[in-house]
Order: sequence, then C-alpha cells, then structure tokens
Amino acid sequence: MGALIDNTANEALTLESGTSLWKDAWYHFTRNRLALLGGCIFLVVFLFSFAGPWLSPYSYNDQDLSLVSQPPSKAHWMGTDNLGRDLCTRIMYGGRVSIGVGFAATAVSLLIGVLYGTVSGYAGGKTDALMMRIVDILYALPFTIFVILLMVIFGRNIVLLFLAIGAVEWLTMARIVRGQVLSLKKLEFIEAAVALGLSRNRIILRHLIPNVLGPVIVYATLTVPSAMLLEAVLSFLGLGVQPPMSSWGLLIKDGSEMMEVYPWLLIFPAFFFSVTLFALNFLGDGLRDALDPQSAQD
Amino acid sequence: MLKFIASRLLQSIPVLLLIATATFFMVRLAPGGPFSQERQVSPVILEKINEHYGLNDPIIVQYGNYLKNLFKLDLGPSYAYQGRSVKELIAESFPVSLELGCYALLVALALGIPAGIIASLKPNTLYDYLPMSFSMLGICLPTFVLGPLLALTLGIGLGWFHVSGWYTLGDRVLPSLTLGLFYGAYIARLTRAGMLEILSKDFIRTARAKGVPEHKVIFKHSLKGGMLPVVNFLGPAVAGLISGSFVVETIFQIPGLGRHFVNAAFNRDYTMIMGTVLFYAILIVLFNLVVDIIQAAMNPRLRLHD
Amino acid sequence: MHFSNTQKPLLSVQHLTTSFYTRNGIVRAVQDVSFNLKEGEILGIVGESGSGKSVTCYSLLGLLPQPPAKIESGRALLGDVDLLKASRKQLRSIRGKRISMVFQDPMTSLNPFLKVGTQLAEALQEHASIRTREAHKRAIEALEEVGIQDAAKRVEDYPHQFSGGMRQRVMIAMALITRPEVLIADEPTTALDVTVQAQILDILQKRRAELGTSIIFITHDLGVVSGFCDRVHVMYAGKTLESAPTRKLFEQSKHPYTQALQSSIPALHDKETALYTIPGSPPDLSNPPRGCPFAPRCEHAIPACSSDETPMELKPIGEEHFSACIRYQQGDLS
Repeated sequence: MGALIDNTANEALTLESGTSLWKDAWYHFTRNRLALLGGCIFLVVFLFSFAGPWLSPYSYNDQDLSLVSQPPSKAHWMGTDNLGRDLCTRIMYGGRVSIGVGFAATAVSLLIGVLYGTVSGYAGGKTDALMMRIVDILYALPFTIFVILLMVIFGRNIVLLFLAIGAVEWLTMARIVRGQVLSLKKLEFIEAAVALGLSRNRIILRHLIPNVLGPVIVYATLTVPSAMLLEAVLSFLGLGVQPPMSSWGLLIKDGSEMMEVYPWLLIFPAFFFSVTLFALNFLGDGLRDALDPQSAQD
Repeated sequence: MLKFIASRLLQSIPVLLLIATATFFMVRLAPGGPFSQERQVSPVILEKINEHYGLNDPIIVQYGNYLKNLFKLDLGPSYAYQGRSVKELIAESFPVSLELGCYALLVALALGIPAGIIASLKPNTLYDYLPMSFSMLGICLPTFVLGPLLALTLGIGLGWFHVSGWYTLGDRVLPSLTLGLFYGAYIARLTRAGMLEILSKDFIRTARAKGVPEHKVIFKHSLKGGMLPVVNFLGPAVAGLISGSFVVETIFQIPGLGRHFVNAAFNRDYTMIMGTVLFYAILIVLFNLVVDIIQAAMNPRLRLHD
Repeated sequence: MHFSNTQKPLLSVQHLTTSFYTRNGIVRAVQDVSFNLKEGEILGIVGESGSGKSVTCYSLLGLLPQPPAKIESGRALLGDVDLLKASRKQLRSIRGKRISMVFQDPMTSLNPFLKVGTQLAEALQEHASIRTREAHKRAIEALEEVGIQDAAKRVEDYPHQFSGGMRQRVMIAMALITRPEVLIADEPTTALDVTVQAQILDILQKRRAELGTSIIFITHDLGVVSGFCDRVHVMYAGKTLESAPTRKLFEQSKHPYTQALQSSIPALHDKETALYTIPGSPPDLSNPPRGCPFAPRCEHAIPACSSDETPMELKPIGEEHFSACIRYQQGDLS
C-alpha cells in the first residue's frame, strides 16, 4: 500500500547510511576467531617456509653422513633423514614448493576462470549456454588422471605441474565469475537508487565491486588448499616434484616408507601439511562468511 | 525415463571419443617411445619391437587402428607386461579397486550423513561443533597423510591389522577407512548444509504448523531435499575415489587398478595408460548417469521433464 | 457483529510480549498485545511488515525458533489451555488440530518433495487414528471442497504441478481438513494475482460459513479487510493502536495511523488527487521510541505523545472500540 514506505527507497537509504561492505566484512571476519586463528597459523607457516631457510644453519641438501636418521635433537629439531639431512630445513624448503605451487596454480586457475567466465557472462545467449555446457562436460572428466598423464608425458617439471593443476581447478571459478558478471549486467536495478540521489560511482565502488570480488576472493582462498592437495598427491605418487627438490608430499612419501623405524620422518611433514590445510580452510570459511553471506550456509 | 537414459548415453559417446583421441595424441606426442628409455636395447631389437607393435606406421594409420580396435573393445597388449593384454589386466585388477571403492563409499555415507544430520538439528551448539570439528579434521587429513598414520598407529603400533596386502577381511579395514574418512568428512558438511537449508524453508514451518512431530519433520519432510547436495557430490566423489585409490593402493600394496595405473605411468606403458584412462572415463560417465537417475527419482520437479 | 460481546471468546490473548535476542540487540517485536477471537468471527490483524502481526500468531503456536525468539509474558487461552505455557507435546496436539494455519506464499509453503495427497492427509493422520485409505478419501473430499477439479487424480500430483492460486486452495484444504476451531491466515492473498485473491477470499468466506471456523486474518492491506473481516485490529511497531468492528474502523476511526492508512488505499480515493503517503519510516524495534511509536510520523502529535509520563495504552473509546491514541482518549481529537 502506498502508505507503507516504498521498499526500494528504504533499502537505498539503509545502503547509504550503512557501513560499506568491506568494513562490514572486516568486522565480521575479525569477530570470527577460528578464521583469525587460521590466518595467523598460515602466516606463521608461511614465514617458517619462506624466511626460515635464511635462519637455518643447514641447507636443504647438506648431508652429514655421521648423523643419519637421527631422532629430534637440539642440533636437528626435527631429526635427520636417511641421508643425514636436517628435516626441519627440508620441511621449510618443501613448504616453499608446496605453498608456492598452491598459489601459482590458483593464479593460473584464476586467470583462466576469470577470462572464461567474463567472456561467457558478457556474451550471454547461445555463446554463454554453449560455454557453460562445456564446463558441465569438463566437470565430469577424470582430470586428476589427465594431470598424471601430462606429468608422465612431458616430464615432471614444476612449471608444468602448477600449470596442469591450475588447468584443472578453473572450472568452478569460471562459473562463479560468470554469475557475478550476469549480476553486474543487471545494473539497471540500481537505477532506482541513482534516481534517489545516490551517486552512481559510489554505488559501484561501495556495493557492486565488493559484491563481485567477494566470491572470487573466497573461492580463490579455497582453491589454494585443493591445489596443494593435488600437488601433494602427485608428489606422493612420485609423479610430481622430483628429488633433490622437495615438497611436503614428497617428504610424506619418504617418511611413510620409513615410518616403522623413523616415525618422525612421517609425523613432522604430515603435521605441517595438515595444519596448513586446516588454517587455509578456516581462513576460507571465515572469508566466505564475511564476504559472501548468501553462500555461507555450511 | 528410458528416453532420458538413451539420450544421455548417446551424448556421452562424443565425450568418450574425445577422451580417447586426446589420450592417444598426447601419448604419441610424448618425447621417446615406450621402449626407448631406461632399458638398454640394441637398435635392431628396438626396431623389431616397434615393428611388432605397429609403432613405425604413420600416426594417422596408428590412430585408425587404435579406434578400430576400440570398437572391438580391444585395448591392445600391455607394453610392460609381456604377453598380457590391457583388457586382461583391467579385468583382473578392477574388481579389487571396486571392492575397495564400495567399502570406502559405505564408510563415507554411514559416517557423513548421520553426523551431518545431527549437526544440522541444533546448529551452533555442542551437537553441531563436535561432529563438525571431526569433519574439519577429516578434511585436513588427506589419504596420503591418514593412510600412513593409520598404518603406524592401528597397524604397527597396536598390531590390529596388516599394513599391506589384500588377503583377509581385516586387510580391508585400513584402506577403506583411509579412503572413506575424507569423503565422510566432506559428506557430513554437505549434509549439514543441505539439511539447514531445507529446515529453513517455508514448507517445514507448514509441517510444524500441522502438528507433525519433529522426527517426521526431519525424516519425512527434510531428508530427501537435504540429501540432494550429497547426491550431487557423488559424481565428483567417485572421480575422487579413483584418484584416491592410486594413493591408497600404493600405500597398502593392494593389487588394484589404481596401482596398475601408477605403475603404468612409471613404466610408460602407453597402451595400459590409454586403456585405463578410457576405462575410468567410461566408469565416471556411467556413474554420473546413475547419479542423474537417482536425482530425478528424488526430486519430483526434475522428473517432469522427461 | 454476529455475536454479542458477553459471549466467552474462543481464543483470548492477553498482554502478549515477544522479543528477539539478536546479535545487534533485543528486538521488541510484539509488546503487550491483547485481543479476543469469538466463535465464527473473522478478526483482521492489519499492519505493515515488521509491525509484529505475524510474530503474534507464530508466538501462539510455538512456531518461533527459541532462541532467538523469547515469549516474555502474556497468556493465550484456548478454552482452558494457555498456549504460551503448554508443553511442546500439548502444543503439537493443538497445532493442525484445533488451530490451523495458511501461509503467505503458496509457492514455498508446500513441500515440493511430497505428493499433495500425502500432505493433505498428514494432519488427519497425525491427530486422529485413521486408516490410510480413509485419509486418502478425506484428502480428495477436501480438495473438492475448495473447488479443485478432478480431485481424485490431483492428489497424486506434486505441488509444482499446481498454479499459485491452486496451491493456496490446497493450503486451505489442508488447514481445514481437521475441522479446526481457529484458522490463522497469514497474508494468504499477498503473493497472488488480484483476480485470484478474490477467489481465495471467497473460498475462505464460504468455508467459514459452512464450518463455523473462526479466522484470524493477517494482512497489510486495509482494502482487503473492509469487505472480509468482522473486526479489525491495527498494529504498528509491535503494538496495538486501534481495535474496532470493521465498519466503525472505516467510518469513524479513532487513531491517526488508521486514518493515514485509509487515505492511502487507492480504491477509496479520488483518481485526481495524489495518493497520500505517510512521511518517515517505522521505528527501529531494537530501540523503540518512548510513548506512542507512531508519534514521530503523526501529524497530530504533541509532546505528551512521546513522553514516558503518559504511557500508551489501549483504552475503550466507544462501544467495542479501542484506541491507543491519548489525544482521542483525552478528547482533543474526535
């Protein structure tokens, strides 16, 4: 009824007076203790991996054959492996590779996904339908197997590794970006708000861009652990990173082969890997709650 | 319904053909043939072997022969296992992987669904946090971490199970748990989200307004809808179980197809690789069809379209 | 009015107060609301979204999730039973049996996964020991009673095979299948086309005449109320502002808010003059204003309206006519 305040106007008013989405998201995020903890833990692991090697007295390849397969001690905090190398240092270097591949692969998937999704969403119509149908079909394909295939055929090199993983992980990103582009196209919806005297730039800056970026950031955060997982599976099978280079997957593989006698060789790298997954998942969930409230159901 | 199945099967033929073609050319593009590396063979013998396997023919001819053989369901001889055909190897090892996969799926569903339901009934209470913490733990312990850890504790430490082999029923426990727990954890999260979504719907309020008791609100009114995300996930889950089987079969020394595939990848046993990839693709396509049928059966709105 | 006011009410709600304890503070959704529902009466509860009209009814049936909702005080007597103090089991035996509900959006209020027949028969099966076959027969009858053709076949259909108007008929059939004493209709026509609205109101009217069911009709549309309800209860910001028999409310309203609502109904208005709109917006219920909640938007407001010294209270102002406006109560306005 006419007497009841016009809803659009009302919402526009709250939009204007309310805090910006980023501020709101930041507020919710900082109140989510698990997500903050996840962020802190990841930061620690990240520093450990990337800054740690500078502080460590050993290099990842230093062998001390008088100290082979030693349990943790003062000199070697996490013990040494069967070639007398310091495990702690090797975990640091392994972390560089694992985390690096995770981020690089995510960047690749972001690039492909954003390009593909944007084109599909902007083109619309039949092109859009066809492009999304292709994505649907690709979803059903055994992609991990293809990555293995690629690694077998073209040799096990690290650039190919993250390119291949990125090429597997882009599908969901494409879908999300397409959805966001579609919603951007419905820009007319905010014409009403413009008519009410809110500046158009301000609306785009404060409400639309964050809405579009939010889900992309969230999904990218959640892609990092799944890319790390894939890398680790490949390295564990011996089809990923090759010695003497090291990654957590490879260290876990080496550790599991000697776990009966030298359990620490398994436990330490496994611990670092799981804790990192844990941290990234919590961080991602927290970001999702904060930035993408619609999908924050689970 | 039959029409739907038939059309889906027809649709999958070009997809499978594409996979077959892609694998074939990828493998042929690879630097070095299967017999040129690692083994020291005299050029004369190498020439003979290549001749024998038809590797000297032009690539188009090879491709034609490959497709022709495919239609005859002939995947060719294994390069690594002399005198064995790829079909034989798959037929021999796949039942083992299938058994492992079924146990794992059973573990995943039997743990995940009840945990998810319980968590969804009282969100943000202990009943929610406890199962969800375990689920988070499960998600952060992937197969190649959980497998060795279980082997170390339950196998070597407590001595309850063997840590390798596939002989007794007890040998099935650790591999199935390793493979199943991760997916159980994921399914628990999906179930919880699905149930929470359904429980917030208007029609649940209608049911309560009718005086329907709570257990019927959950099992009669919510469960079908709440399970839809889980059913959706079954397709990707099976693809995941397959790659998981590579890891688990390697850890526990199980003579399944997964281990054969990994070995084939090491040995550059190209016919075996191509055959296995194609076999997995068919498996996944078929399973996705089954998932679609289950979905249609569960969701009356989808059923209308056929 | 059909009945004299000496008759004992079927449902008597007294001083109901319901709050929501949210992250952003306590929202006082319903404050001190009282009303009586007589046998066979249609009581309209009118208010904007957020006025507390739906929360009032959900409170009665225990349909609000607690927490965050909390029923702070009040009584709701259905015969001898106080609904607000009843055990969950007791409430469940009343819901769908003695008090039924029809909801706003028929597109989402029926379970898409269950056959319409199953949903229709469910209330019967929950509340009476009845054979499945008999329940099925009753379900078909119930559909016929609300004017659905080919009922025997349609009970086998799923909700998505019905149109919006038809689904609302199904909802009404479902609510009335147990022959409840009270039917609460929560904006049953809001989501429907205008032509369908009239049909639905017609069916409600007809079923009321046949079964003698009392109806609480919740709506934001004062226009619908005029031809349909016996009595109207006007709510605003969780409080009752005016309560009167329908004709009195329309002809001699004793509250500025009701008057403002009326002058904004297009149908009652000249086409020439611009439609009246009430300036301002409803108050924030987590921080309700002092005194009369409508005072900030009221053209007749005086300082006393927004002061604590003159607490807002619903007082009799004529025969069966109650108003919460102190200016009418004091005789400043008439």
